[in-house]
Amino acid sequence: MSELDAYRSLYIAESRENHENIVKHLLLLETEASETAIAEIFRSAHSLKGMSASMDFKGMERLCHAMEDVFQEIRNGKLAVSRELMDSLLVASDQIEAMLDDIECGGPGIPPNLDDLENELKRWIGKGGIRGGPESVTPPAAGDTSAPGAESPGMPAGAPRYSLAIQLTDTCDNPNLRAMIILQNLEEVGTIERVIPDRSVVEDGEFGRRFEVEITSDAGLDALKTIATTTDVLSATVTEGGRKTPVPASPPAPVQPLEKEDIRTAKQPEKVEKSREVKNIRVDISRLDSMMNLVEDLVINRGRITEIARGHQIKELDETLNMIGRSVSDLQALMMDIRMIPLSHIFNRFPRTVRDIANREGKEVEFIVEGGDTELDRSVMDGLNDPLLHLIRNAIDHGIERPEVREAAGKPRKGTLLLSARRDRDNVIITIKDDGQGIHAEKVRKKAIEKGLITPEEAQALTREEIIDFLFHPGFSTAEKITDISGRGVGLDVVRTTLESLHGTIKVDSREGEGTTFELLLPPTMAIVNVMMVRINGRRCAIPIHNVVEVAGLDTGNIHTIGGRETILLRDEVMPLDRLDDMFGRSPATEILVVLQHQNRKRTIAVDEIEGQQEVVIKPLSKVVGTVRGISGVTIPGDGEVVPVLDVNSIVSET
Amino acid sequence: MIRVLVVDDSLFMRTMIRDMLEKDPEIEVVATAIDGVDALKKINEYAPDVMTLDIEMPRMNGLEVLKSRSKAAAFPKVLMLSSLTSEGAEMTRAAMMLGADDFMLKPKDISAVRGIGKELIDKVHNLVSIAYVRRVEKPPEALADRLVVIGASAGGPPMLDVLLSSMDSPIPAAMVITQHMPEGGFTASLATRLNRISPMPVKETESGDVLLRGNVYISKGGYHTIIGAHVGENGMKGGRIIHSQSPPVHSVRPAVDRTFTSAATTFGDRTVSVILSGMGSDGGEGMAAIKQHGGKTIVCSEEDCLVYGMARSALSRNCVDKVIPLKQIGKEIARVVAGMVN
Repeated sequence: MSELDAYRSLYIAESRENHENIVKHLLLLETEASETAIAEIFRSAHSLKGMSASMDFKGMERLCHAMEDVFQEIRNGKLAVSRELMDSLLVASDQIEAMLDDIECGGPGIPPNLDDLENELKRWIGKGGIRGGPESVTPPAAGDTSAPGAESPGMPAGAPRYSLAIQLTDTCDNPNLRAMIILQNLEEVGTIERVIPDRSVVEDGEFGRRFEVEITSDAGLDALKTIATTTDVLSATVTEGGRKTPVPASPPAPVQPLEKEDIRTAKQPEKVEKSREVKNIRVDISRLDSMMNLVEDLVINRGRITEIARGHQIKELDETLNMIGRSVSDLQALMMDIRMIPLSHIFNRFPRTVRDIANREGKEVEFIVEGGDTELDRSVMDGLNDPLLHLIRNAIDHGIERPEVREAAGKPRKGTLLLSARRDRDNVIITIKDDGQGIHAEKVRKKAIEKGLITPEEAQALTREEIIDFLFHPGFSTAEKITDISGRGVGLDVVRTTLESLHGTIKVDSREGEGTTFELLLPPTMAIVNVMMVRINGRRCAIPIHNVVEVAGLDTGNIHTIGGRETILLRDEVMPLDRLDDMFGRSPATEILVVLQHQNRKRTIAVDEIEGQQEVVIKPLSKVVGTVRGISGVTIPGDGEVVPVLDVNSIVSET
Repeated sequence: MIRVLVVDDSLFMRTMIRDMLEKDPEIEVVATAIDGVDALKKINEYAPDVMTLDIEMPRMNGLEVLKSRSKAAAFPKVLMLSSLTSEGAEMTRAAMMLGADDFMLKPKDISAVRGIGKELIDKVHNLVSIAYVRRVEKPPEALADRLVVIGASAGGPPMLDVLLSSMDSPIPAAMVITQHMPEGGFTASLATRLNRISPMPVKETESGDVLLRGNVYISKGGYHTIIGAHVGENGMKGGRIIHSQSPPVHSVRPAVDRTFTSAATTFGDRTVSVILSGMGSDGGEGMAAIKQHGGKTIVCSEEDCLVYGMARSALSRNCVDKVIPLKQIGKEIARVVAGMVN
């Protein structure tokens, strides 16, 4: 990676942080006039701009500069925060994100509508009636205006015209010399159009110590005043387009004291208590993963040494191993802990989304977020954003009714949407709850029949819960109109699939007219899985516990062969039975039945014995082995044996 | 070895600044700090020679760090890294007043300019090698009859350090330096810095300033510095600063060409002109005008310049008397000025 590439990725990572910080505080600012928020946004925009300049991402630099300027005005109390202003700022901040995406993909990050965006922000600057300092009205830096000295003698057309009236003092010895110096300096900055009395008269000194000059010049009024106010000048007037600007008479020989340092006491920035998210060190997640791997190896080898030591009975060795064991466990726990990040990382983005969707849909939503400090493993968190976003969109789009509908139904105009997270033993439970119209089971039933998913007869037999479950069916959507937010028919099924890939589950509870609650259950981490250790044909095998429904005795009398397949009848339920002979060899003594489930489909397998339940680290199969059907990975418990982990998904999905 | 502490709240900036500095074998970045509080801690811990300091930082900003200066036992030399805004200029000025030793604009477009770190490295070296001067006596307030004009752009500021500090005594001429800088007040900070290390007093130009012998003037950003004619009360001829707001020339204001051409008209053959490092072509035409009026023309040799565009624009006009290394320019100016007898 070249140095520049390294800077680029650093740039992107840090810019995203700054962007998030801007959005977070913009939303905060919308609810309360927080000085901290203003300071934070200013600083983030400022940082972004500086970095962008270094990387020469001009579009980003310009946009952030404009945003910084706006916040400068807000910070100085010259601009009030309004709804309209917030909209402009949020649009700009969205654009920043889009530009970052473009830059990340190797683009220049210059959107076609950059000028509009910039102007949209700039129009706020100087509003509120109080203009910024003189800096804010500097003329635009024109391109290379021809050759230097262009203003003298041939002034560009349109340069303003001035009239100067100069009165020299009576004590002036050489009025002609004074006048000539003034005329010479005027020629340096403009074109003299006329001198009264005539120039030759002035140069001969035949004038009454007063002369007038007409000049075109683009050097500015101040330059002309400077020139007119010199030694032996009693008074001078500079008139621009009819406006008179008297110039105070100069003191004789204005010698500037050089020691006078031009110090304007710079205004100190307001000291603001900054609330920053905890920002410690940044470690690439892949490095944490390799560290985790090393810790896992350590765990495995500790197990092996313990086994070996057991055969030798050396007291000191055992003691030391105990100590090592404790350290390794602590290390492992610590590693897990390090990988945990608070859910606020993704929760923080949602208020913005809710606001936008609600505005677009004409709904009023009070969005409440709770439990943002609940921690989840980074790998789980990464996959969680999209499903949550989808559920939130659904809740506003389909759940919460329009204000007038709500009022008619006797509910408060404003709907409530609650997003909360909490820990339940090792698991994390995320709830998304709205007080909207709930799911109309009847509509779902009709739709399911319409789509040919079930027959009307079957439909009659289904419970309300089973009907609602159709929402998770691929291609199912009941939205009456297609919006760009939801209702495209890809949705809840994707949500469920995603959650399952994270080893989580989703439940829905809905009451018509009262609202809908989605409950997501997630394991705290994906690296460590609770498994049931079983033996099949004398060989060990691990089954993820979340796939195990129940364990029962295998009554061979209940085995029936239907269509060439063994099935078993367990408490009035007929389920296929797998012996996994092709994987483990025929077992002479299978006595136990394990019922497995994946996405509402059940299977059973026969095993010899159950060894127990334990937490293990699942490692993927090495590339040498490749993908093996039925096996999702291996785990190595303390004794050092390599144990395959059953991939229940592929077994259950088999027909 | 120069031990440097890099202070910036942006990881990106810290990394970039550190990488730039470490390209120099004589510089060691001993630590980085993420804000003012961290910086004060690291100063005690590492006792660095030089500190690069960002202004906008959480918890404690750059200005507050400078205010804690007196409390610390040993404080490093401070190089402020400023952003290119008028707000940044104000902050820089405040920082210089609070005792920052020098400032530099944050690097722009690092991919386009090779060796952009050179300016930073040179500044760090200058901070430790160039001592502050104590001028005991003020130069007599006499109208200057000779003028030295210097033009510079990118890479110029550290060269001005070297040039001014290498002149061991005041020269019998006024010196006007036109250094391209964004407007807003950075040139005032540049003057403050140079005033501390130059044997001659240095100030930013004000419209109407009469050019005095043995004084140095830095063109104020945002205006062209026009050298106008002036005659003192005793009838002695000299020059005066006029700030013009006519449009930028070569997209810059102040433009070196405007200063040089007007100097040629006003001071004629009593003008010495020098071009240092700089991008673009500003200065060439002005230098040609000075040559035409009988003045002297000097250009710095290429190996001392970060960018050679401005120098090349003069060289291409065949108007350059001498091309000499930076270290000799101060002496050469003194020699040439002394040779222009009344």
